[in-house]
Amino acid sequence: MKTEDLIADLAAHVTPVRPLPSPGVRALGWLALAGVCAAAGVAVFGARPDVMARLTERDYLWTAVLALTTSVLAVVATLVLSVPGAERTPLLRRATVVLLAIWALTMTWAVIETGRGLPITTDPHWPACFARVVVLTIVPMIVLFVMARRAAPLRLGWTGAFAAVAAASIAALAVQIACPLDDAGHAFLGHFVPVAIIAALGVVVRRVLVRRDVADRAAAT
Amino acid sequence: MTAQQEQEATALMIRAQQGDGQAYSALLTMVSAIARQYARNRLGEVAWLDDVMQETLLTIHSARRTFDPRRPFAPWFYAILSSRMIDVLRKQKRVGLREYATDTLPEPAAQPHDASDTLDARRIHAALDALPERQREIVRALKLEDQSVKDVSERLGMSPSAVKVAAHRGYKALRRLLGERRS
Repeated sequence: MKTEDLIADLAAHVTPVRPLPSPGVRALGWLALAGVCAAAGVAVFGARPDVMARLTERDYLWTAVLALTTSVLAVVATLVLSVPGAERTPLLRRATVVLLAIWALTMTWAVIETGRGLPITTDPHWPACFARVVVLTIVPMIVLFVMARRAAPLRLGWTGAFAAVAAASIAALAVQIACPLDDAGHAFLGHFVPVAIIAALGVVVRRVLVRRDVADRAAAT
Repeated sequence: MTAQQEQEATALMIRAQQGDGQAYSALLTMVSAIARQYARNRLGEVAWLDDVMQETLLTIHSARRTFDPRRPFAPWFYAILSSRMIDVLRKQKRVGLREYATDTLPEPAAQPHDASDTLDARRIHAALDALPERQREIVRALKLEDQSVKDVSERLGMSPSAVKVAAHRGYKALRRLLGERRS
């Protein structure tokens, strides 16, 4: 197809569109929804009885803050990346990666400090927490992918990974509030590993961020 | 993009977001010229400059709701253009590595002028007949009947990408068959 014909075709089929709200506003909307999902998860699984006391302890609070801030930064990064030219500097992306790395190091260090290694076979409860993180991730992740897809992400891998991290981090926070176990190995396997795996999955499924009609049209030109 | 062009593009984009086809056509014409110049400066006079422009125009079309009229047009536009340029560049590299260019195929003579032309046409048709049915149908439609990939994909109920892959396999097989018969 000639470029002139393509222009004529696009102009002939142009329809009114409402500009999307800013990434910050959209991020707030998503955080509200993800917060509701996380709260629903805690309500269903039941919060640990001593959660308020545990929140006053430095290590527990630090892990919770890391999960929450990673989620907040990751959702803003996702929605900024989904608007062409909105990312002025890679600072937000780097900050999210650094925060995720600090979270990973914190969890790993806690396991090393116990001196027992990972309780892959000795702890029968971590698969349940793992599954809970996955379940609580599904709805916020789908919603965030749809939100990013409605815009126009150009860096699909980054966008997919951050969308997955945002959803999985808040799910991990909800599971941390519900889980009564304090073992570092359990927290690593049951609460953090699913976040890392889901992040990788976000990269793998990045192509779903491309709208089908756009992909078909591009292939047909 | 000059400041004046940017101002003009912003005004046209705002009207395009309201569904004004004329403004949209003017905008796309303007940015396609800018895109061509930009891509040519960076990539040189390559055969696939049109691909870069068309991919850019399609992305502008699908992304037009993400343009914020309170923000400058240039960063939005150049982000799309750069991204599509890189995509097309990667695609061309991949194609170069694993596929034959279609223009290396001998064109069948539609109206042969002499005996050798007739012979070439016969050879090509004989080679075509040796292809699997689906490949033969696709190559015939694209090369002999001059149909578009989109039309063929709709007619055969295949995705455009699948049609392209089948066509390239067909071209490859044709080259091999014609080479064998010539030798």
